[in-house]
Amino acid sequence: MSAARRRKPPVFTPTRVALGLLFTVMALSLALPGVAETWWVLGYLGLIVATAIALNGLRREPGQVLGRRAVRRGLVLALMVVCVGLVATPPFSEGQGPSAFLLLFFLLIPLNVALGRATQRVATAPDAFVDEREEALRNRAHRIAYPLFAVVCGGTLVAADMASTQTRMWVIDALIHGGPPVALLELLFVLPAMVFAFLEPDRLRPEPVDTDLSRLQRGRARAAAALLGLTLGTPVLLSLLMLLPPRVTAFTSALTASPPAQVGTSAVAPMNCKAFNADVVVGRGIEASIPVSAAACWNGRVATESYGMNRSDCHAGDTLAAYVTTLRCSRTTDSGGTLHFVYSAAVASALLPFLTQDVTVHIVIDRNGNVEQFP
Amino acid sequence: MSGTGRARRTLLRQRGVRRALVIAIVVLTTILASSLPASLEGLGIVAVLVLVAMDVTAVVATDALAFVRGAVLDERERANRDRAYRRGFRILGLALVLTVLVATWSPGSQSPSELNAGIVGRVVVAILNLLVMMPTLVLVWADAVPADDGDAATTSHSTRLRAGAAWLLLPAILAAWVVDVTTAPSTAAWASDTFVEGFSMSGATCTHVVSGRIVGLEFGAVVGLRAEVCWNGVDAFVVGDPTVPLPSSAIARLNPPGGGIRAQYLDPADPQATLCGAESNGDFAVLSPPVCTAVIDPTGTLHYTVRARLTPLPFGVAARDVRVNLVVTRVGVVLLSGG
Repeated sequence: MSAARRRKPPVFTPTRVALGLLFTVMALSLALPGVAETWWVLGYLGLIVATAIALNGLRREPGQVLGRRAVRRGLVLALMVVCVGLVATPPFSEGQGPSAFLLLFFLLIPLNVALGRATQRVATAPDAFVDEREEALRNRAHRIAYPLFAVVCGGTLVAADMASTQTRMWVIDALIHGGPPVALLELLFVLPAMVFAFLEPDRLRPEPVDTDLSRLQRGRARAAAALLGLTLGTPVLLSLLMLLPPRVTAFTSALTASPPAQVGTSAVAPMNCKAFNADVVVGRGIEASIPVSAAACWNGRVATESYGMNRSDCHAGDTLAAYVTTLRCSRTTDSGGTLHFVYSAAVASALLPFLTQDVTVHIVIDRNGNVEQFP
Repeated sequence: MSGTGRARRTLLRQRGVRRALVIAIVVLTTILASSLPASLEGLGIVAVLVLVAMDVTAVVATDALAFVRGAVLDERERANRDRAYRRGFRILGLALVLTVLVATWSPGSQSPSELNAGIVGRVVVAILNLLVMMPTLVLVWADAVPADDGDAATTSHSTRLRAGAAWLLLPAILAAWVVDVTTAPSTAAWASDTFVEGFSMSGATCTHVVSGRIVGLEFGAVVGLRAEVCWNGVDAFVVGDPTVPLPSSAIARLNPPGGGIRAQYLDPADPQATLCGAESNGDFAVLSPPVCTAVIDPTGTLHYTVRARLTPLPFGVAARDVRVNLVVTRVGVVLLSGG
């Protein structure tokens, strides 16, 4: 890369503005009321930005291995495979989807770091930092990458949107839940570098790694490596925290306006009612909540459900990188007139799905309104 | 070259005119990508044709440099084209991010969509336009247009042919749209997986049903159905729409004799639960206001229907009815159909 030209590079490039907008929107979305408990995600977002800046600031030769065209082409192939894997990953709500998605997502990070080093980020470098040969080569890489991107991304999007109801469902759900948006952004920002890495010939004189680095550069490299480790390690650590005991918030209250009785109860007998509200949160950061909001009434002969104890009421609350499987949702009344409601769910980390914690919420209330078990 | 063609090319030599053309294309693309106005009321095809006309003007102004094979270009032209692709790719990234933001956050798109009708036609056009036209827009904006010596004879025959062929896009697109919107069968649209509607009712099990029909792929209209349906073993019924009365079995559970709840409070209007023709849209074809009917037959099965009339062309030519049917049995079997 030429150091002869000293023109000051522009601060605002389309790529930087686009990335800045993306991060701003993500930060604003997370800062919205109702998801304040996800504050740590904001911090994690900051960590990713810091890691990207630290890695981007490193100007290191690709080294002997990454200087080889075959290795670079292998790297490009690996990135393509990961992108295809991301597109094929089912949405979060479908079984094993999340774990595959997160695994592939985290695989992208080291691959992109390697690609950046292999190409010395020439594809996105300011004009002042590239020589004529590099300029021509990266322009050619963009000309090849552009129609590739248009056909692969635009073509897939439009074809899937119009082909059938199923593919249309897939497009929208995948764009919101699954891996395709990540693959799309990856190609949008990295495809020219991939073409560049694919086109550039073998380096004639690969330079040994680190020997030319100054102490300052070595320090920056270590800091960048530490940040990268922290970025990759944090989600794993938070997944492990899912094994901690769940946090339970529960309270009952008398209903001021008594809901009506159910069929089978006396129409004239007075009914007393009570509301049950509970929220069981599993995990710290990576977490899922199991909410219960129900009411039951009693008249001295039988306790009955007023609301919130039907099958359609058993569903997960807020989740973040976790998924919830309902194990049991049942409401029964025994011969003594006692009402039993059980909602049981398995909560698993999306990243490490073998880490599962089962949670059960009980509501047991007898015919006289005594709460025997809650939650 | 004709006098009109020469005058047009001369006009396009002016930087101000070229940049105004780029700005106009960007503005129209942004409008299409946004939800403003919420519905194009059947004028979507007009907007598309205007956009394509401006696109063709830009392509003609650059002698289709962005689309020509490298073998027929000289070194300067090739360098200009490749540079335009690089800048175009970078700006495309920004534009796509902005398109998503505009489509997501523009007024009218604030409420989460329950109906998965895919990417609506106007947004598809905006995305395709960006993908196809970005390098040309960069060339036009950056003054990288072919030199003009003012001699009509020097304009090659192939260039004139290319320009003429480009203008044929307009009738081709119009014809394709007419065929699509008048002959293509309607397809089903289902509920979005991203939306969860919580609803609970005493003595009944409920589910939220969202469905619809899409006419003309994404370039016609959408008729939507949104209903909160419940069943209690005796009847299936719709709640949340006071124009559809509850059956006596549901009223008995909600308000037994002596319960004292007034009739109007038993089933208040709840548009989040039930809304006739919710999320219907006629961007590319005029859609009449949807009409909804609900009937509970003697076996307790609910038959709920949404109807609307679609008029893609003026004077009622090729108008057709679109229907979405929902059938729910008293034990909760849900069937959807339409046409």
